[in-house]
Amino acid sequence: MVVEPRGPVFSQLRRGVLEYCVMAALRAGERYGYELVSQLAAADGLLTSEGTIYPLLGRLRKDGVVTTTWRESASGPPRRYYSLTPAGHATLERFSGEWMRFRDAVDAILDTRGEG
Amino acid sequence: MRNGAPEKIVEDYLKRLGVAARGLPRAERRELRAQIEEHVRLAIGEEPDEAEVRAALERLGDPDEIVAEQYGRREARRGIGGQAVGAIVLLLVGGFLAGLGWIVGVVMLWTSVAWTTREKVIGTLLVPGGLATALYLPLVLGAEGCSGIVVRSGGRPAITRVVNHCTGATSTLDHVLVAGLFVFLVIAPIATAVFLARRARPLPA
Repeated sequence: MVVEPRGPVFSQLRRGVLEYCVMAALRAGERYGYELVSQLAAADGLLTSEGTIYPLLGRLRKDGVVTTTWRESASGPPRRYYSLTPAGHATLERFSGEWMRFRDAVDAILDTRGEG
Repeated sequence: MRNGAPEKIVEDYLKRLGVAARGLPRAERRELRAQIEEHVRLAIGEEPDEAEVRAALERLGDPDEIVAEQYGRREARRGIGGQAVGAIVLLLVGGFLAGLGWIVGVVMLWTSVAWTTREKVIGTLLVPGGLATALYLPLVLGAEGCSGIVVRSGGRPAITRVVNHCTGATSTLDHVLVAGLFVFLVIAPIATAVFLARRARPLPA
């Protein structure tokens, strides 16, 4: 098995959690696309290409966890702002809880290595 | 912002995105392009140089990869509905049920929400009757036998000739035309069925 940051293991993991990371980035309030993507891109290893966030946002909107609104901007044309719906907040809450349990379980297993 | 080379690079990128996204429903394609364009405009700023634009597009990723993600995220949803499957099957082979099955298929196609109007038009017109039409082709041609085609050539009084076209195999050209038509009538309904299956919107979650 090959474990690399861009290898199949991490690409599957990333794929699984990315939508929740997008939702988490919207938890504090609405963001426009470029702003949201820049925030996620700053997190090391989370994004392989920035553009793939947009298909994901489209699906989150269809699933009713994210909504889009148009807003005038001080400079340039109006922008799409994305925000979390109440259903989105609830989904994110559930995921966060499950993720912490999952993360703790994996960490616990990984950490027992030296003690055995 | 709209200066030569950098602008051209952006236009080329968006064009490649448009080509890659050709298979998506129109609304999805437009939305994706608008989102990406908005991102690019903000990423490159007012007076970008060529290197900045290339770097921004590099970070954004390959258009094919973005579109593949769009497809992937669609297919990850649940399968297409029973009505859509029924419509595809009946459009393809319903014509064998005394032609009525195909008509039922058309009704199911047009009452379905799985396709856009454009896709429904394609589904209806390619080919009316579905595969059964190919089967009836030899019957139709055989029944007609020879058909006269009146060819008028210039001059006054007009010289009129009647050229007889017989399906009983007069010329090689006829053979080729009939064979070509037959192949088309077999392939087109199958291709349309595949097209409809791929374009069908999944049931809402």
